[in-house]
Amino acid sequence: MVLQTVQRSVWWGGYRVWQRNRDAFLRSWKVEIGGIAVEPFIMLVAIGFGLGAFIQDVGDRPYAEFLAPGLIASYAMFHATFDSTYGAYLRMSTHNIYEAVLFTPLQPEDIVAGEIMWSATRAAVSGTAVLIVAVGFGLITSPFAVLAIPAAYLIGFSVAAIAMILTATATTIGAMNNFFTLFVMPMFYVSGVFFPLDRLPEWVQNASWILPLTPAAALVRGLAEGDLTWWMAVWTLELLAVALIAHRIAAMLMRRRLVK
Amino acid sequence: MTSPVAISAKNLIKRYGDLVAVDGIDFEISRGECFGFLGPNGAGKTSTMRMISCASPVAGGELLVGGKSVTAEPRAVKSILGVVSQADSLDPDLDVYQNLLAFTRYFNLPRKLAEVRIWEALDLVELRGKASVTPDQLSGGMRRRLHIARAMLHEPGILVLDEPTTGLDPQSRHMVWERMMHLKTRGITILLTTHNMEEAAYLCDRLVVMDHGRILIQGSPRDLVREHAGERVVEVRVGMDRKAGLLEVLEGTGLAFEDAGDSVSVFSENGDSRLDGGLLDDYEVVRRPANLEDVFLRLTGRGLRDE
Repeated sequence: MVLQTVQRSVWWGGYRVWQRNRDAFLRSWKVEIGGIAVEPFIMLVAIGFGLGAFIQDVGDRPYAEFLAPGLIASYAMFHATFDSTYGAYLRMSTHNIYEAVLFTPLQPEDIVAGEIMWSATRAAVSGTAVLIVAVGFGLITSPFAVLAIPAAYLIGFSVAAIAMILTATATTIGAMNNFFTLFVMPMFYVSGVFFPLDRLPEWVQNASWILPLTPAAALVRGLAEGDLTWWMAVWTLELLAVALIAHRIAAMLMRRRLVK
Repeated sequence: MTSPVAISAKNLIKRYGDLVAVDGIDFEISRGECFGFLGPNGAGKTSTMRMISCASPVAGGELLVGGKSVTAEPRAVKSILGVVSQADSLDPDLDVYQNLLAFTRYFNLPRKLAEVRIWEALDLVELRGKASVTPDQLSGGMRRRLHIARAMLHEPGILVLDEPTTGLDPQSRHMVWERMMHLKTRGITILLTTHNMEEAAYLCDRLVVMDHGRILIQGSPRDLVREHAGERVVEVRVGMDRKAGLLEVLEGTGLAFEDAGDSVSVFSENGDSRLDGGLLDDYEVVRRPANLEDVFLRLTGRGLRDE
């Protein structure tokens, strides 16, 4: 009962932080629109249609159709992690915003919850943008694809929660670069976004399913193609579990960093 | 908050690893009072302020703010505090109005009330005309005033200010002082740390001087000056060649004095008439009323403190 009350207030406090991030985004989105919609558009054209012209069909679909759902999941991941690494680190370390917020009734756990909720929202926005581009090219075959938007939110939530663990422990902004070169980009290449996983050695396949982008890409692909299976429930639960565990760890580490 | 005591600390302790930053201090701050914490760098002032603001866990002792324990009820304590910390923490991604709006949300003020309070706060610090610019377009003085406005939105009973005028030009400093006097007349309890003795003497009803985590003295600025530096001070400008001789003469008189390098301050604790007569006739002297800085330097010494 007490625990429930605390939990609820963490998400409520998080909503207050989310509102701050939304206000900031609404002032700057015109600058960021290139990253949100133009880059995925170029990626889809260049790789999906350009390179894809030299690639045989995957299963019974053209390469671009295979690639598009993977890109929805990937850009959800990218934009969530940008915000909860570089963005959050700047707010915390350079602009002292976390310190100021801690002098209000909010606690470190609220801040972490709010940052993750906002990153997840960015993921949903980016996922939606890629979805619209993909629909424009006729690459989406099922109305279930609309569920890719909440899926993108969940993907964003999971990877942002992992990213906040790093942000809470980073001592320089350069530490974020390692996160991208050693975690985000490898995941982008081996999670079934560009080619089916069965092309990879079996041990890499198995390892890949532990990384959040693999279930994420599979989930969005299933929705985009209307190929619903019980596995999608498993993948959703995997992402949810990653999200909640990583959030707990990040919140604990953030308290250790901020309250001393 | 009906009790006359706003904040009370009993045997309050703060440790960072092996370092004892606050070493068992006691104090009681009354409602409506302006209370100052003075001390050299590393004396434990900011640690004390951070514990009061629930931004730093208490290592020992008891600390009650508005009758509530900072350890047991941090959210409740923080909801009655307005804190202005040393670091600049304005949000560069939002305009001035939005900076304040974000904080009304952290305090869960309803939107309508928030709007009213934001304009009141902007009027309080005379920044109404700057509502739609971003903080990086404000001068240092304006930024400091905006921090104060941001701390006032939820009408806190207690305002905590950590070096509020450090780095400000004289005009901005006087503006901040004038605003703080105004807040005092509204019955708000103010806690202040400062290195500016003039500021402490002007604003504080009572203050403590801390060093090495302990409280050395406490009282009203006027009483502290009278007790620890007397009525007047004679500063004797003296070269190294003649200093030894001067110090010897002063030792013989039993007068309190302090060697300040190229000058020696002599304190006249009870309006000692010897200082007016022949004793110092051979020297270049400046006579002035004793002030809080004399007290501070006598108690904490002249050695530099590196944090």
